[in-house]
Amino acid sequence: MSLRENIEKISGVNLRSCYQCGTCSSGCPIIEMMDVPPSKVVYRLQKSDSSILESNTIWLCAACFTCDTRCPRGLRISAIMEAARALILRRNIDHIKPETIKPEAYSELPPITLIAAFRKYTG
Amino acid sequence: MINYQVKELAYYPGCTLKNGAAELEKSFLFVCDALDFHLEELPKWNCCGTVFSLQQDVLVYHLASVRNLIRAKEASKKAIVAPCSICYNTLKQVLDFLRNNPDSLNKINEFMFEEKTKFSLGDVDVLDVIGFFRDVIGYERFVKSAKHRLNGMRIAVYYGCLHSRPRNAASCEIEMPNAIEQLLGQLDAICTEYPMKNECCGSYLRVKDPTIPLERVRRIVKSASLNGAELIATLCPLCYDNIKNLQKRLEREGSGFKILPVVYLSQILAMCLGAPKEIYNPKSEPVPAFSS
Repeated sequence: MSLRENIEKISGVNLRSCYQCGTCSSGCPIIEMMDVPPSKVVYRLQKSDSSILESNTIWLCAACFTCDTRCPRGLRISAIMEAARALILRRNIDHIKPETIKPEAYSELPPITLIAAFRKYTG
Repeated sequence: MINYQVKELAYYPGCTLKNGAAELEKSFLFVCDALDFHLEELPKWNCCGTVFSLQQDVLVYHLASVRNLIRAKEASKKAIVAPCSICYNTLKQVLDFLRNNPDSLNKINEFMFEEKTKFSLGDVDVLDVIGFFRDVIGYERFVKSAKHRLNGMRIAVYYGCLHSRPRNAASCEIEMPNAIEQLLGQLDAICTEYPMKNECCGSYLRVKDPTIPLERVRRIVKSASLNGAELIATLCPLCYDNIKNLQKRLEREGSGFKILPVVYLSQILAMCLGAPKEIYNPKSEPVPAFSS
């Protein structure tokens, strides 16, 4: 199974229906922190380019769903990002480790951020 | 308007309201009681799952939400009212996922064979505060029962992401929502129109890299401030914590950042409905008009 097929299976999104208009990238609230814009992540996944799994973009998407509501082709970009994360997490490679979080952070962070982060960043 | 009897509704607090966000729970329940909607807490509720899983091929992440829906069905409830934005969005998206994937629902029911009750579609719906206040209680009732008016208080309503997105979970307008402004306007508040009202606050990225929500909060508060707000009203306990606490860090930077007070929408409504001070301003923080 190619990378594209794998992502399509996990996300339930047809990657080939993206025509690269860039609406997702233009509306993304944290695009300036990303090394690859969301629309380019989709493009490289269409080509089964596995180097995209090293991009920080897939870890920075917090699923705010702005792109999903605006995509003229109805793609769920948030689900594509989740599928890309899943490919890594399912190999048992966690993105954050509980032991690396500083003790003072535990008292400062509301528990809901920690639970959400562990749900999204660990397998 | 949706016609539900009060006894057909279950209050779903979720973990956050029972821990860090006691202000939200107290003020929300005060509002309900003041308007004669004495909601019963969902018996034996559990965590909603916190974030909706976007992986189509794994169903296990949806079980926590489905269990809550089953509890509601067992208690003969027709809808769950979830004041926490995250709980609402997760429960609602799971419900919508099951609606579109009946086969997955069968699989989930088979997997949870020890549950005596099977969940079937159409049994239970999920409501957030916007839907509950607007469609079930009705704004008129708020206006009629109000003991105090907001006297031109300049409020920036901050919706966050989870009431307007994704489309299948939206309880208000998707772009530039206006549902709450319509209520607060009738209570004589002057609501700020600003472009950041439903932009992401950075959410749980705070665990991975606090600079991201820090930057988001700077822009949200600045935009509200520039457009004349003296107070931010949030719905979501995570947005509330991010905005409230990261503002302190931004002020310490010394770049002239101006802190805006943050409260929950239900605290403002509780104040209008005559709540005592320990409910609408428990920490006695300087909040405009709340002091008078």
